[in-house]
Amino acid sequence: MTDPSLSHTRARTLLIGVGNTHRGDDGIGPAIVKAVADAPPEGVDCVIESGEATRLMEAWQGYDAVLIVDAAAMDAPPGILIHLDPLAEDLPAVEGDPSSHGLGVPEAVRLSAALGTLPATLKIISINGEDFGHKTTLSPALAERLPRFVQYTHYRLRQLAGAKVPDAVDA
Amino acid sequence: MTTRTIAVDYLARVEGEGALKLTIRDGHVEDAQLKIFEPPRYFEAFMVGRAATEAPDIAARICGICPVAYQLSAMAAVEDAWDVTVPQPVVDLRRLLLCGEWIGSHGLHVILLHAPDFLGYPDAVAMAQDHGDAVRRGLAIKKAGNAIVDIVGGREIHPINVRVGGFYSSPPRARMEALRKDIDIAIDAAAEAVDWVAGFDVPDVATAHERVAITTPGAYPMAPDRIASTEGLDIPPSAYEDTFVEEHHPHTTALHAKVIGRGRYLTGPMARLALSGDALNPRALAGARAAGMDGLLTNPYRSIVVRSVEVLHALEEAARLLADWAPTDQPYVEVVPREATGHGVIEAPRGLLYQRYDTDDEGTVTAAKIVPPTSQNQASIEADLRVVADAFVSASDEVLQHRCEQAIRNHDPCISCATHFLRLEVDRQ
Repeated sequence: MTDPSLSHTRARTLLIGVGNTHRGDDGIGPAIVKAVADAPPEGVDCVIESGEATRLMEAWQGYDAVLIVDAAAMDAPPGILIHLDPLAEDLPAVEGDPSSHGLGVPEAVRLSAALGTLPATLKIISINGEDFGHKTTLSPALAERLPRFVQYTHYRLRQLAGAKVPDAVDA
Repeated sequence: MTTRTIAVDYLARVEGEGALKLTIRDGHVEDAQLKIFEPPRYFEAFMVGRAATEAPDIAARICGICPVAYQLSAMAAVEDAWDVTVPQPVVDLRRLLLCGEWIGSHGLHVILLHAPDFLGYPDAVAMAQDHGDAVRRGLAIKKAGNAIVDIVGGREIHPINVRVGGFYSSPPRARMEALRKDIDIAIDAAAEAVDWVAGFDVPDVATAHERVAITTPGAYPMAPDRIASTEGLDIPPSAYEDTFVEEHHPHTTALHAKVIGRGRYLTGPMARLALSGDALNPRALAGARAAGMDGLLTNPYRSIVVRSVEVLHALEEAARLLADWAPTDQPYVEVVPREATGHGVIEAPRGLLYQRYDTDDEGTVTAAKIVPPTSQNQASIEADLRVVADAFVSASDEVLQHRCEQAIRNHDPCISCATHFLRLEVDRQ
């Protein structure tokens, strides 16, 4: 779903926060994007999406560069962040086959690639959560790291805008 | 006597989790059970003690694909209980909202989930390599449906702009005007989609079910009204529970519904077409006739064509409603709670959806009943499976499995609504 309160000027770069704010740590993507949208970098639009594939494909149409921030459920400590380049490597497989509710980020990337509608640059910041229960709050492990996740997202946006920044930073 | 067992962990491209068990003895299909093992969700119990004005928003949470149908039928029931009559602009705006849901839900199912079955692809991504234009059409259709629900409903999933008595606010004029372009593009895409799916090869099988749907004289059923069937049923929503009964079956957590004294029945696109096909909008009617949709369709594999026709119909309907729409300052009427019972029905994309609410004089829900389309269709899906499995019983396990999965997707079941993944087990002896 798109949050109309967030910036949307059809700038060159799109930041998408993917997640459900009613399912605990699944809301980390929206939380980060809301924080960035308070003072968005020039040339960056910010939207929040549920992650449904056709909506994602529609959202990134016309953008040169797209950065997605999404939660993950990895076999790793909460708060671990990985930076993915789905145009250069396959995304990790999601357990189970897709249902009509389950066409998500990997399917959007694969379908968009097949149709030739992918943006020139697409990156994903994936943050490992630990509690995806029915709640509107983040777990302490993610909540206390939120400012650093926001800082890291700004860093990646500067990189997408062509700024000369180091290849990696500590999130 | 030999025994062969096929176990398929998950059936993709349906909504929800369940399993299918086929029992085959001496080359004959003895039984087919669609086993839904998703646990009960207790929404009817959640409602008790809440204000009936909250019922539409709570019921919407049953499903992320068809929340509008849950909202509209809940509102119909509460408004029936409290003797609320809403003005025509509210009726029309609700119809537009439902059009958006039909377009989005059917568009997704027809192009991205069901069409790969008929063309030999594992999924839409693989199909897109060879049929990119068809997939683009599907995306254009879904975009129009999403936009309608977003603009009229306030957001695309679980809309927030509906209330008992009408809408909280009139949709923004500028966004409604901009919507026309998306709808026009989608109408052409939907007309091409009807032609495309009408050309699919389908197995030659026939199944017979009593078809049950809402009927409205002279109109395709997209609003609360009487319930009719191909066996002569014609009842008001208040007679639903005197006419239909839900039964527990040990193999499933979803209840099976049947017509009292007769048995299974089918709701959804095939039923709506059978009872109201002549009332389709002009391009949809022409598309249906060109696709050979006259008379009672008995081949469930043709449901993909019916669903496509309904997409076209809903888009034409949306265009008409949009042309007639004007913003209003107060798009609702005030409601006064009372102690009463109300019954509401609507045609969800998958079929008839019934709700009943009992309220006290302060408007608190004292009892609730919700009957989704998939639990009404479950017995008919199993009957289809027996016919299909019998027709392909000599085929390889792989072919048999594929045909059975298709047979289930013919009905676009929403297993989450009925009580996720479908496991197939074939027991051959």
